[in-house]
This record gives sequence, structure tokens and C-alpha cells, in this order.
Amino acid sequence: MNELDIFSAALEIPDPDARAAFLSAVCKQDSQLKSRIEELLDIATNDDDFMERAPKIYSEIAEGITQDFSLHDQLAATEDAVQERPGETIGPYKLLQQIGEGGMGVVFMAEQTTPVKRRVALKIVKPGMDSKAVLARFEAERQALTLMDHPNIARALDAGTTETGRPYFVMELVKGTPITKYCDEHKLSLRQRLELFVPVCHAVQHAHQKGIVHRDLKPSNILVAEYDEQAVPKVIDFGVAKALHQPLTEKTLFTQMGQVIGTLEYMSPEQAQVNELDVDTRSDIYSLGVLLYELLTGSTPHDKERLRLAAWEELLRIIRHEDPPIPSKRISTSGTLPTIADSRRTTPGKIGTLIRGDLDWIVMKSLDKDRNRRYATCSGLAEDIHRYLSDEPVLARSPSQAYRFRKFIQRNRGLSIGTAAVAASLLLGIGTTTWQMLRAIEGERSAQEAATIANRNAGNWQRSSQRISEILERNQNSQRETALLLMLVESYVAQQSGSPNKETSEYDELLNSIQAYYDTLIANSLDERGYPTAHSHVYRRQRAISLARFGDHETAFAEVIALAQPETLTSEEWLFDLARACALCAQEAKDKPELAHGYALQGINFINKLVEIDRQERAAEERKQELGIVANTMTTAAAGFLVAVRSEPDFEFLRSRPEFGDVADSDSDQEKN
Amino acid sequence: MPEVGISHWRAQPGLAKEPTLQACQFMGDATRILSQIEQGDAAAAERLLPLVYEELRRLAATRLRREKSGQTLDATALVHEAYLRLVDVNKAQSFYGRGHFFAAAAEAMRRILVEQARHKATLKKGGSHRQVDADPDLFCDSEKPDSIFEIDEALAKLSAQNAAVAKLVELKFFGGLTLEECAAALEISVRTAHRNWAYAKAWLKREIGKESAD
Repeated sequence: MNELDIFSAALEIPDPDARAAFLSAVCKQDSQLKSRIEELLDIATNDDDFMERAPKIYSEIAEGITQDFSLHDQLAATEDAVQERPGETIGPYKLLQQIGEGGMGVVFMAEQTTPVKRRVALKIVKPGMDSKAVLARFEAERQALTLMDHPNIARALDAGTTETGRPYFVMELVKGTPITKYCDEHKLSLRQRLELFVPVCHAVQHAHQKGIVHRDLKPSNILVAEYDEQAVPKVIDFGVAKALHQPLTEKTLFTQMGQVIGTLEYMSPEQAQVNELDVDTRSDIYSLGVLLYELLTGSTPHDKERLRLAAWEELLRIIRHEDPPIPSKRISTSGTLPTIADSRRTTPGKIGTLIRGDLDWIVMKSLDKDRNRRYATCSGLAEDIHRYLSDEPVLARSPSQAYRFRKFIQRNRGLSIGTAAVAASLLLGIGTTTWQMLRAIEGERSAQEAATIANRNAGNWQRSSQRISEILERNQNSQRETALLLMLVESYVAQQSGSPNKETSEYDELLNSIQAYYDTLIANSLDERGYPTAHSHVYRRQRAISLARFGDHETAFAEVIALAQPETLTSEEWLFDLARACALCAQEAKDKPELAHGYALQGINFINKLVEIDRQERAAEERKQELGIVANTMTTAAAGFLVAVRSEPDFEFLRSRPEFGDVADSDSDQEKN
Repeated sequence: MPEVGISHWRAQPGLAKEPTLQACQFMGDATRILSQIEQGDAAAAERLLPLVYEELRRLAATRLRREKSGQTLDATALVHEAYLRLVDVNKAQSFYGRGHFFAAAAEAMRRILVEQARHKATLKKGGSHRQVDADPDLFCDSEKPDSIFEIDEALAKLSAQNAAVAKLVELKFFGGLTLEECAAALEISVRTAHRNWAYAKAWLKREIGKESAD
């Protein structure tokens, strides 16, 4: 026996005396071997985390890894590049002092001597850009730029190249503070902030009328200066972003780290395309929406920190697909609420109420992913703010209800729908079988009543759900009605799952009673002999989703498995519903990749069954949804998933997902070259 | 898709778009090499390592670039991502084939981590570049670059004594495989894998303890 064998055998003897006896017997005279093994056993029995966790790579020393990459050298060269200094002259401009520095370049206050003597702002672009192309793009817009004449726009004056071949831009000098900073420093109230924001909209509108899109609206490009004690916002850098425009690639992100990342938070979804095709005035409206969001809540819609840390593909995905929390919700969950409220001259209690409703709608309309649903013009945005300030009804409507409704109709074309059922299904994604049952009750009184209550109290789940619970308590509803009511209650609870109310005993009570109702429903829908029926299955499915929604994945998962009995797996509709239930549960478990993975795999089982009974078209669609969830929830785990799936259409689909987008992108690049 | 070899890829590093393209082309290469290995071409395995090595470095570098200072990457996640990127998962691989990939990836990852630890040591001595202030709390226990270095040295000694056990450590620790996966890749029983892992950990810990006591 060698050292390893003796060690292993001894380790399996728990009793110390027996172990010692064993060692003495096996090692015989070899005391060195014995002490070596004893030492090893000692270490092994005092086992800690040693080597159990994966090693990490540290970014502090990323140079060790990146040094081969010329990109790194390029960066280093940028840092060491010759810098222009005050006192130097560039063309007719004498540099006076540096007033700013960004990822794109350095800004100087400069003195123009000819043809007029005046002070200007001069921005010198950092090396690494094609000067000719930059200037050509600027020249193309110069005519339009000179036509701009607006008190809230800093005029673009000139552009050229330095002796070292770097492009520079000259514009009207604005001695101001970025708008967000100005508002906070002066503790402007929400109303004052809005009043300051309106002229910004008008300025951008003016530019749009001259055919100029800014493309890079953000606080540092909207400076507030005081003239005669009046705060005047001025939009700077018109024409610059477009002239400097580079196609958005991982490279541009990296080489201009600070700059582009800083801008990403204000970048519209259509700008966050690798092949950014058409950017128009509505992109500016989106950026204005971000700015408004920040002025109101103190943070950008997508968390800065999160965007900064996100991997490239993830970053684009967030901007393109993720809906930010509405401003009032963001503010209620903010950790620095007292500070935010204070700098807006209000109280933590009041600020949410002030923003909730109209201002939420105005902001969210500006931020719509679909630019067709944003305000058509900046004036439209300004007018709606004006309406809010003068207590008139705003034109922006709730983006969620109308929009979700439309989406739902699109998804379920051909179905005729009762209002009450829609309200529930919109929020819950109920399955087809459930759906058909519910359709039958659209005329029923309680359901309608519940829907009315729900609509009237939209946003206040406690009130809605309590009232609906009361209807439930009357206990004179049909089973199907009860099911629908349950879903309504649940949807309101679920909508608020992030709110602090979650800790309250009412919340717990509500959850318990929801489960109890499901149990009763299921029990009542068994047949005379106590066997399950189609109805009891539907209710069980619904309960499983409900369980998952409220975090009881163990029971939910067991239920999903239990529902997959051979006798139930012959109906296409039912398989489809089960698959969707898995998808919904997986979504609920998105913070727990293993669980989500489990649900998704189970869902795929159902879909495979569906394929077997020859409903390929629909199954493919559903499968895509499943895969989408997998891809969304766990990129790393998806690797294992892919291995498990091993089918071309699936892989193609995942490649089209933003998480794996770079693979797909490189394909399209290939075609271009 | 044109065939592009490693030499070409080395000649034109840097442009961030390119590695992605390369990953696509490598995907074919890696898959082909794996199937050659499966068909018994022993020399093919040698061609796999540089490919995986480059991809892992590239992945790490692009990821780290975007992270703020102080961020870390999990080696295991990188290895699995590399697998996804390099191997055409549509072409069925036996687990044996996957095992070859992970063996190469584990060795590549070990080299990268050791190289990184060396670099760290240079920085500490104030050698090249600027001084890096790292938060000491970030480095705990076995994650510390220093101890990667020590683990690697100890592992070399273990390898001289029992190469199979050392290989297991490489797969488990640097490649991020579970012991079950290690067992399949090394064609040993799961029970043996567990036994060997316990032995290797104790052995390495003792060895490292000895070193630092000296």
C-alpha cells in the first residue's frame, strides 16, 4: 500500500484509536511514513475551505493578461500623448485655462483675437480619431449649425485641426454647472426643476427644426448659468457628437471608457445597436426623458453602477430591453430618500406622492423603448410638463395598462375577451385552458365588479386586494369566478412584491388565504369519486405559479412535476399551458439559476411532448420563450443548458439573444467585410 | 468561413471585434480537434491547448477591462464560457471529448493564474508600471494570487510523485469541474476521485505550510 491508499483507508476509520492501530499495523517499521500520513490526516480532518472555491482573476493586475493586446498599448499611448497647455495658440485661439476634461477630449477657455476679440470654449479631441472624417462630418452640418439661434443653445462657432492633427471644436463659452448638479446645489423644488427643464426641451426642439439631432444629451452637456440672477440652461456640444460619431463597438466603449460609459445612461435603445442604423430626433427625446428622470429621482433609469459593471452584451441588453422602474417607485426604494427629498425641498413622505401619476407617465412616455410611442416632438414633452404644472390632465397615459393590453391582444389574436379576464391575464400570463374557462364567465357580476375595483384602485394593491377578498368572502361565487378573483388579488400582490409592505402581517395573511382558496378550489373540483378533473388540474397549475411567485419553489416545482402525469399529457393545450407555467415559474426563480434551469428543462420536456404530437409551429414559438428565459436568467448556466439541448435551431436562437449577441454580430461583420 | 490559424490571430490582436470573429472560427477548430482526439489522434490534444489558452486570456482581458478596479472574475465561469464559445455544441461530443476540452482549459487557466500571480509579485516589488493599491480584504485564503503561486509550485511537486492525482487537482481547482465530472474525464470512479481529492488537498496544504515555515 502506498501513501495515498493508506491515507484514504485511514480517513474512512472514524474512531481515533482504531485508526491509530490501523496505521501502526500498516506502516510497520516505517515511522516516517506513519508520521507523514498522520500529518496529512490531521490536515484533512481539520478541513476548511482550502481550494474548494474557484480561483479568481483580479482586475488590478489585468495588465498581466492584457499586455499582449495592442489595445492596451494604444491606451497607454493616449495617456502619454502630448497635451496642449494654457498659453499655446491654436489657429486664432489662445488657450487660457483648462475648464473641463472628458473621455473625448479636453476643454479650454480660449481667447479669440480675430476677426473679433472674444472668449470661447475650445474642445480638443483626444488622439485616436480620424480627424478628416470628424471634420468632414462637422462641415456637413456647419451650415445648419450656424442657423441655430436660441438663447438656450451655446452656438457652435468653428472647427479645425491642431498642429498635431487633432480635431478641435470652438463654441460659445458657457460658464455654468451641469443641470443636475445645479438643481441639487440650489435645492430646487420639483416645480423649479421642471420649469428649468422646459426651456431645455424648447432648445432641443429648435435644433430639431433646423435638422440637427444632438445625439449626446446628458447633464454635462446642459449647463446652467446665471444671468441677472436668473438661471438659464444652455445646451452645449451641438454638432460635436455627430461629428465625433463612431459606430458603437466594444472598442469604442473601451478606448473612450469614461466618455461612452457616461453617455450610455442617456443613450436611447436604438442608439445602443451595434449597427446603429437610424438615430433621429426621438433619440434626443429619450435622453431628455432620462434627464427628467434623474432630475426628479436623483438617479438615472438604469443604475449607473450596474451599467458600469455589466459586460458588454449585458449592457446593450439592459438599454434595449429592460424596462426601468417608474420614477415614483425608484424614489420609494432609494436608499438616500431623505437626501433626495431634502434637495427638492420636500419630505420623504411627500416626494413619492408628488411624482406618482402624471410625472411617472410623462417620464415613462419619453423613455418608451419603442420610439413611436414616445412624444413625437420635444414641444410635446414640454407641453405635457406645462399641463402638469398648470394642473391640466396630461396627454401621456399609463404606459402599462394600455400598452400591456395591446401587447396581449397581439399575442392572442382571434380571442374575444372580457374585461375582467383580461385584467387578470395581462398580469399573470394565464394559460389557454384557464383562459377558455374564464371566457365563459365574462358576464358574471362579481368578476366584473372585481375588475372595476381593480381598475379604479390601480396601484394600490392593498385596497384592491382587500375589496376583492371581500367579494371572495361572500362565498356565493362560482368556482371559475373564484379562480379569476384569486388571480386578480394575486396580481396586485405580485405587482407590489418589491414594496416594504411585504413584511406586514396583512401581506402574509393574504398569501395564506390565497393558498387556502386554491386548496378549496382544487378540492371542490374533483369528481364524485375524488379523482382529478380537467378543472382541478387547471387550478393546480395556477396554484403552482402562485407558489413560485411567492417564493415556495419547492412545492411549486413538485406540483409542476406532479401535473406531468401521462394521462394529462395528451392535450396539446394542456401541454402548452404547462410549458408556460414552467416559463413563468422560471421567471420567478430568476435569482436562483439552478431552479430556473430546472423549470426550464421541465418546460422543454413538455414542449418536446408537444412536438411529438405534431404541433411544431407553436412549439417552436414556445420553446423560444423558454430559451429566452434561460438566456436571460443565467448566462453561465446556459452553457450547460446548451450542451444539454444540442440542437441547431435552439443555438441559433440563443445566438440571436443579446447575451450571446457578439457571436451573432461577428457573423454580420463577416458579411460586411 | 475562411480558415484562420493561430499565427494569424497572434499577428493581429487588439481590435476588440476580432477575437469574437476568431472565436467563431476557433469554434470550428476546437470542435474538429476534439473529434480528432476522440478518434485517437493523440497529437491533436497539443493543438487544443494554445487555442483554449488564447481564448481564456481574451475573455478574461475583455471582461476585466470593463470592470472597475477591484473586480474579480471567477475562473470556473470563464472556463465554461470558453467552452461555449469554442466548441460547437451542436456536434455531439461524448463526455470523453468534453473531458479533453476541460483538461486543456484547466491547464490553460492554471498557466494564466500563475502568470498573473507572477505579475502581481513584480508589481508588489514596485518593478514595472505603477504601484497598485489593492484592497487586502479582497484576497482571502486560497484566492490570493500569492497562494495560487504556491499551489502551483506544490502541485508540480505532487505531479512528480503522483501525476494522476495532480491532474485531478488541475481539473477540479483550475478547470472548475465537479468531482463527478473529473472522474468521468480521468476515467476513474467517483469514489476514487473523492479519495484522491481529499489526499491532494491535505498534501498540498502540508507542502505549502512547509514552504512558508522554511
